[in-house]
Parts: sequence; structure tokens; C-alpha cells
Amino acid sequence: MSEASFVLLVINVVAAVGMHLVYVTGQLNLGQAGFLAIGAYVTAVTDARLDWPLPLSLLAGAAAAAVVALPVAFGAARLRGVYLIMGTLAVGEIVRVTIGNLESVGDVQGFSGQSGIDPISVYVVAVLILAGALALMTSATGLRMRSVFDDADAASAAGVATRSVRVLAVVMSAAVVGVAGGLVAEWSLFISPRGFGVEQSFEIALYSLVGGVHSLIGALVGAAGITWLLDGLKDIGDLPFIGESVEGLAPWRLVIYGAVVLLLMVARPEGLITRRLALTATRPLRRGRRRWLARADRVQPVPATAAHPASGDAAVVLEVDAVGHAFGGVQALSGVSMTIRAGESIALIGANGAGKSTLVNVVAGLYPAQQGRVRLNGVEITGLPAHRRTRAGVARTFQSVRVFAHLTVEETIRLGHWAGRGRERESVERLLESLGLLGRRDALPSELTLAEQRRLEIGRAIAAAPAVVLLDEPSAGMNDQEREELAELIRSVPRRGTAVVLVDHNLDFAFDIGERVVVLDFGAVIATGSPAAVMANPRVRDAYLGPEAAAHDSPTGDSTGVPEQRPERLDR
Amino acid sequence: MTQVLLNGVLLGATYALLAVGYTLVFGVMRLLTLAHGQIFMAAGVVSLVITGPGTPFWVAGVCAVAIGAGLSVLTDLLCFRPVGYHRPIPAAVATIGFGLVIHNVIVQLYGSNAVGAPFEVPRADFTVNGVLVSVVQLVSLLITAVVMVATHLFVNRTKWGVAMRAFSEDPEAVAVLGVPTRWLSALTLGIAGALAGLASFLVILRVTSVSPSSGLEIGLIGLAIMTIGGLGSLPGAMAAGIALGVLESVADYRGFGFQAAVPWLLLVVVLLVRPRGLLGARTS
Repeated sequence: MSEASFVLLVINVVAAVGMHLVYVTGQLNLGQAGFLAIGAYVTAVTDARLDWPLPLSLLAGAAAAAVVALPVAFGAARLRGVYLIMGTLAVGEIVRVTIGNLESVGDVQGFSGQSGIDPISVYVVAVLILAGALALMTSATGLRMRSVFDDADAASAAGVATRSVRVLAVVMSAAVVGVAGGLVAEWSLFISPRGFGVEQSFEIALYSLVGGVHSLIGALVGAAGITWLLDGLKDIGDLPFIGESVEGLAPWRLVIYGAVVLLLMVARPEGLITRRLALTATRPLRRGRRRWLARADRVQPVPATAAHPASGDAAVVLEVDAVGHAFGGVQALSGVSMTIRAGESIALIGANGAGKSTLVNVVAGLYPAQQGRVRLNGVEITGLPAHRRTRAGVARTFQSVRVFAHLTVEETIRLGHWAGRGRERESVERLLESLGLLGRRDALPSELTLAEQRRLEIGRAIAAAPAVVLLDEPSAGMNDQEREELAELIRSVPRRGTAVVLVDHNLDFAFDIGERVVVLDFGAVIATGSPAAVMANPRVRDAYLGPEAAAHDSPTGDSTGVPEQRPERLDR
Repeated sequence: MTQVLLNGVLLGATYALLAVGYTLVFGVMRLLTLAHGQIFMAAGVVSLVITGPGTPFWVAGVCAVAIGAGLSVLTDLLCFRPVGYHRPIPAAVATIGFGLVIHNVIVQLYGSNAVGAPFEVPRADFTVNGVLVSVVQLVSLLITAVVMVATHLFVNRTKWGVAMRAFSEDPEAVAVLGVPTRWLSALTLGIAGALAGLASFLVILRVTSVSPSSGLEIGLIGLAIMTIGGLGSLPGAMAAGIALGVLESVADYRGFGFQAAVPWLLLVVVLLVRPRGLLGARTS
């Protein structure tokens, strides 16, 4: 490979890093050529017309791309899927056409006059950008960005401000792609709008898509591979041994490129470098980093608060006051009030469709409360979005397990841990140990059993040391032994200073955990009290177990853990 | 001005034919086919290459429709089926690869210059109140309208159409009900490809040539129209297609330098006001 090809490859790697920074949040941006163009033109113009020194010109290009990206980012944050893809593609095209109409920079004729750049400087810039990206992706912000890719609702529940993270990703990505554009302008000495078309956007997106979305290595491999295919194949005749015999292939290299992309998607839909592969490759690096982080963890004191069981006069932490919520014409909750005291465990029970999950979603902020108020430690949190509630101290798990498919066990716990900044928290190491997941810290959720996934999700919620944790049917689908292990884990939660609200269908399990039971029926509280008192209440037995079951003198009734029958779309 | 509007409607009708293809595929399979523009182009080029001088012009039309349908079914066989219908992003990326293959094979075989029609397009023009109307254009418009209505009726009134719409909701349930889903996806792509071939032929009748480099751009405009109309909405795609054709035509007439950006400006404005397009349903 010639030096010119290699410099091009390095520049494309920079663009790939930029693409990685945005796609890692799940936003497939197909307008990167626009930011490439802005970076290129601003760098070229500040260099050629204003004689700015090269580093300053490159920074100006990056800054200009970031500035243009900011409004785009806010627009894009509202869009999903194809709408997002097409919206970003539109921005790229508008930028290209706009530049083509700017006579001052040579419109469609192109622009030249920049002073140029030597290969070494290109490499230095690329190394700086790579180092910066690596630092970012291993930081808390990087973890938050990656969590959004897998599940935005679960990320909010883990305290991630998903919208801000999305906006930040678009802007940072544009800045890095802008630098790549500046390098293009300086290296090729001539730029024109033709070089920044949709094909270019597609190519930049393909770096990540082909190489693998879930690691920087993937972006690197994708950029290097595609550049080699497109540029290196030009000189295929120069290859030793096989060169002469395949020389005729050179004109067909774009066909080969297309076929390779197609075949790769069939063979490796997640890209060449899957998350698992990247994890295995970087294991030694992570081990070193872990030792370093563990030292930082050890400085924090172990929480000693609320080690005693709750008594009747413990402070009220969570107050649900006359909350109501309707889906269309169905009143799922009406006038629900309850209080949770520090260190208390409450079981929330009720028949299918009684409104249990809706209550959890309203308290946790996934649904806006239509009526009533929610107060945490006396402070109203009714209007707060989900991630701010988690940070304030109301954490939750979901009815169907929602963990991050591409985050390891340890990363998931660390994400939850960060959400509790400012509070005394147990160290990540110790929490992993008490979850029984220490040996599985590098596993991805797909490599865990359902019970382990549940424990992971609970771990994510309690890692922030919240005042209250809402557990939505954690024992669903578990066998007896797994359920017993789960009960032990949940019983340990109040000792950590976190009150528990447990929603469960399995009454044995609910009564085992809950010191106090709240019964919901048709969206209203019909009874509150100790398990025995509640079960003696004829209204409860009538409503919850049905008249027939009430006739039998069974103290616990349904203990089979029947899964919810409500359609999912209402609950989500 | 009437002339400008009429030209716009004709251009828009072509766009709409293309967009309806995307809409069918997305509506049924929740998948994007990013090779559609290249299929449009290839159908045009190949139909012109294989019909020599002397063959009646409508033969090229039949060829274009057949080639479009064939290539589109190939998209299903080579991209969607092997990658899996449950993987939208890799499936779309695979079609990018397929589009690159189609485009570059055409360029290698026939060069990158525009291919002209070897036949005479019958010219029969007349003027109404100073507006030049060509019979070919009028017939094109008529064909487009008939095809649109037929597609709409097929999807909404026939057994296969109902199966298609059910497939978009729950592919497994449709399979369990005994519908041969393999045929369903091929049928959907076949119809979409045939419409692209038809659109290509109608463009050839108007401008008497087709350029191998036009595929990507016109394909993306079709995609933009589907998005403007709202994903999966046939009436939305038709309306957006006509609207865009008229807008572009007016922009051209007024000498608006940003003509090439008109579809994209329209898309951005629509998405800012309605993040799910004009007639888009709430789907993820």
C-alpha cells in the first residue's frame, strides 16, 4: 500500500471514530458527509484566506461542524429509526447543495489554495483523536452513551439523561468528522461538493456497520478494510504472487466492495468485531483498569445507615398522593395513595390489570402522572423525568427483564452506581459479590440465565443506593430455588438503607418479603396492612382471589406465579 | 404556470411510483430496500440495451417491468432472506451492498454515459389554452393512476393484501395461519420492483434516455418521499410524490438555485412538524 493510500486510510479512521461516537447511541447518522464538508471548507478557507496556523484551522473546522450539528442534534433526538436516518441524510444533502451555491468558495467548481499537511501531522491528529475517543468511551459518559443504544427506557431507569446523551453524541461526532474533513482538505489540496455526497455518507456509516458497532476496534477495522478494498484494490496488480493473475479484477473493485458488504451482513450481521470479540481482545486492558478503579472504590466508606429494621416511626421516604392515570378511556389508577418509610418492605399485590405496573411506571416517571403527586423525602418529584428520579433516589426494575444487551455485568452495575453520585454507596466489587455475579462480571446478558439477568437488573437499581426501589415482578418465570435466592437478595436491600416496593404475583413470595401489603383492585387501594390482616379482609379475598377462592379457607391462595395476561403495549 | 404545474404532476407521478415500492416493502416487512434506485436505473438501462431499433417501444416497457421485478425479488433472495427479516439494519446494509453491485456491474458492462432509447417515442402533442400536452405524458399519467389505485385495492381488498398487512404486524402469526410467507415477501418485492421498472420506462418515454449514475439519487428521493408521506402509508407516498414533483417543477421554473435540495428541505420541514411524516402511523 502506498503512503498516499495509507494517509487516506488514517483520515478515514478518524471519520470512523466520529461515526462510532454517534452510532454507539443508536443514532444511525447518514449525513456525516455534510459535517465532513463543513470541516473541510472551514479548515481550507481559514487556512487559505486567513492564513491561520494549521491546528487552529482544524479546530475551527471541528467547531463549525459542531455548531451546525447542535440544532440538528435536537431535531434528531425526536426522531427514531428510518425517520432519523432520512432526516440526517437530508441535512447532509442540504449542506452539499448549499456549498455548491456559495460562489465565494468556488461553488460546484471546488476550492483550493490551502497550504497542505504532511503525513506525520495527519498521524499525530489521528492518534490524538483515537486516544480521546478511547478515554471517552471508557468513561462514565461513554457507558451512558452505549446504554442508550440497547434500551432508552432502561437507560433512563439507570439515571441516564437519554436526550442529552443523544444530543451530545451527535455534536461530538460532528466535531470529529469535521476534523477528518479538515484533514481531507489539507491532504488533497482541492475540495469540491462532489466529494461530499451521499456515497461518502454511506461509506462512513459502513465503516461502523461492517466493522462492528459496539467497539472502537470495530470502527478501526471497518475503516481500514473498506479503504483498502476501495483504494488498495486499484493496485491489485502489484500484489506479490497473485498480482498478475487477478489484475483484471481492478476495474471491478466497486462490484467486489458491494458484494463484500452484502456477504458480511449475511455472515456477521453485528459486524466483523462483535461485542464479545472486542471484550475478549481487551481483557488484559480491563483487568488493569479494574485494579485502578478498585483502589478508588476502597476510599469510600461502607454505608452504615438504616441497618436497623424499620419501625412505625421511621421517616417517610416516598409518598404517593392521590395518583390517577388513564389509558384512553380506561382508568388504570384512581386516587391511589400510599406511604413508604425508610428501610421498609412493602408488597404491592392485585389481580391482573389492577394497575400495579402502571403505579410503578407513574412513580418511577416512565409515565407522566395525570393526577396526584409523588414526594420523595418531602420533596415533590411529580414533574421530574425518569432519570432524575433515579438520581434523586427512586430506582426500579421492569416487569420483563430489561438489561443492556451490549454492556457487561460489571458495566451495567457501574452505570447504576454512577447514578447515585453524592450518596454513600456500596462498592461495585462488593455489590457484584452479594449479587452472586462476581464471577460473571465480564459476561453479556445473553450469556446469563434468566435468574442472573433479574439479579443484574436489581443490582443496577440498588447500586445507586436509592431511598426506594420498585421491583416489578422480579420472581416471574423462576423456579423455587432461584426464587429463594432472590428472596434472600431482596431481604438484604432494606439493610442497605433502601426501602423496597415489591410487585409480585406469587403471594407466598410477596408475603415473605413484604412487612406491609397494599392491595390494588381496578386501580384503587382496597386494603393496607400486615399480610395476615390483609388476607383476612373479605374484600381482598373477594377481589383478588375471586368469590370461589374466598370460599375456601386457604390463607395464601394463588402461589403459582401466573404471569400477567395484560397486553404489553399498555404497560410500556 | 399551468405548464409548470402539469410537468410537476408528471414528475411527481414517477416519484410516487418509486415511493410506493419502498412503502410496500416497508409496510409489509418493516425493512428498507436501499437498492431500489439502482433497480430503477438497471431496469431502464437493460431494457434499452436489449431492445434494438425496430422493436416497438412498448416492448422496452415490458422488459423494464420484468427486469425491475426480477432484480427486486433477488433483493429478497440475496439480502433479506439470508440476513433475516428480524434484523432491519443489517438487512438494509446488505441492500446497500447489492445496490453497489448492480450499479457497478451496469457501469462496467455499458459504461457510465447515458443510454439513449433505440426506438422512436411516438410524438403526438396538442395544445390546450397554450399548455403543451403530449399524448405520451397523458397516457403515462393515466397508467400511473390506474397502477396506484390497483395497488391500493390489492393491498386493502384482496386476500394476499390482507396477508401482507398482517405480516407487518406479526410475521409468525401469519405463518402459523398457513400463509406461505416466503411467497409473500417475494411477491411484495416483486410488485415494488415492477413499479420501479414501470417508473423507469415512463421516465424514458419523457426524456428518451437513462443514466447509469442516476440510480442512487433518484432512489434516495423515492425514500425521502416515503418518509415525508409517513412510513408504510400508501396514500401518504402518493400525495408526497405529487407534492414534491410540483414543488421541484416550480423551483426549477423560478430559477431557485437550491433545486437539488428541495426534497431534503421538504423532508426536514415535515419531520420538524411531524416526526412521523404526514400520514405515518405510530410504529417504532
